Amino acid sequence: MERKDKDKLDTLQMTCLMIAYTTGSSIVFIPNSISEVARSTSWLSMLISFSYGIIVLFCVLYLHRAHNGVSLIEYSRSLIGNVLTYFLSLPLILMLFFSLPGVVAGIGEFLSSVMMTETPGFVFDSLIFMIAAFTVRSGVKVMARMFVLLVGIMLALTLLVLLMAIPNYDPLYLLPFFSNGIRPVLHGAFISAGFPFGEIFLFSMVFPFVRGNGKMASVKSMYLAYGLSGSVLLLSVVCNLMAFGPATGTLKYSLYSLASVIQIADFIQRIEAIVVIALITGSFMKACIFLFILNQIMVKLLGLKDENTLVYPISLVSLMLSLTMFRTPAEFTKQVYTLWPFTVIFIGGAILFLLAVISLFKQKNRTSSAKG
Amino acid sequence: MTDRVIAFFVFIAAVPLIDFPAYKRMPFKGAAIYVVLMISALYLGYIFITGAALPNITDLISFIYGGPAEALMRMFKPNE
Repeated sequence: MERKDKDKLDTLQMTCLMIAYTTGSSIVFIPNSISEVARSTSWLSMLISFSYGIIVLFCVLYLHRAHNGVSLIEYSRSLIGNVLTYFLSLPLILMLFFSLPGVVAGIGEFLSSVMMTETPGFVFDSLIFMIAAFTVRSGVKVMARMFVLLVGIMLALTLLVLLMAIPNYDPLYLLPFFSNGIRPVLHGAFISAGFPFGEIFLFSMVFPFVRGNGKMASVKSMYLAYGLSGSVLLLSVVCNLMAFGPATGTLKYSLYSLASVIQIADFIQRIEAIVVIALITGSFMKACIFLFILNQIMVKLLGLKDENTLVYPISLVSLMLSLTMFRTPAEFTKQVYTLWPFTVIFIGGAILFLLAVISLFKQKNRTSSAKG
Repeated sequence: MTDRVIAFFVFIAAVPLIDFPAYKRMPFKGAAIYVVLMISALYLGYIFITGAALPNITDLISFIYGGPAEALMRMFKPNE
């Protein structure tokens, strides 16, 4: 279905969508999970995984431009055929049915373990899914307009907390380098390459909604948005390290813990609520984008005309998954920091790189046959 | 458990009720996937209410990718 240009997203809206997607829930979970394995060299892990994400983004944008701005499913059909596209889409659907409930379960677990301990987790999860489903059904344009405001709030509050915590920083905590060799650094890079930087490949389902079908202005803004998200995450990791040192890895929600130690002039203290706003908005936006992508993949695969048909049942299944899939917090940690990065890098990344290589070869063949 | 039963029935009843006007114009493929998703939700709802240790999506993902992912994790362990 061809969309009119006015129904598509402008550069600012797409930029905000990208920041929301990349920064989203990772700002809650990434600092401590990387610090736990890479310790004082977490920042290096972040830089390695950030570089991997740039390669993924480059491939996504190349495929987007080479195929006149259609989605991953559509150019996959033209490159490898219908049957193989169905075959390759199944792991993607499985991945999204894991990640979407995972994002919501994470924030539900945070709220029910830290903020409102007497309230059952399903209250938070169901509310988030209900609002996410309404948001996705109202369309990508409405979602992006809303996210322009929410991204601003999330980034401003996060940076405010990082700035206010300056008196607690000790740069010596960033030493020593490579105390346990290179392997922990690579482990940290593996985690953050899967969550959130490698996840960029799924954004190929959102790019068709941007105006201009891959013009340079939108391409530049995508790299800019990605760079900004990476910088915020890197800053968050470094600040947490400087504040807590080796203990960062033991704090489950390190940004929240950072806000709790802020004390300025005896009256600015206990500002954790500010962080909670940033955490909830970030995770909500990420859940919305995952739901939108999952719905788009299924709609495009089945060739449904009504794009909203499956939003509610997908949300319902994801809600039930978020309430049942992680039996213990330890299982959540294992699944999110071991299996999710693995699937993102080795399944999602492999599919994307395969399509990019096939596309490149086909384009070269076409060029050489046109010359001949 | 009562709160879970009530919550689940609210969720499972709300979705078909809201989507009711769309049923008539839903193509076969869309309707088939819709039914599959609702059956999956019923299965997961049973796990949610009873707390039964039945297979879930995480078991499927662990079954498919668990082996190679664990092997990779062992490679990342620092030398003692």
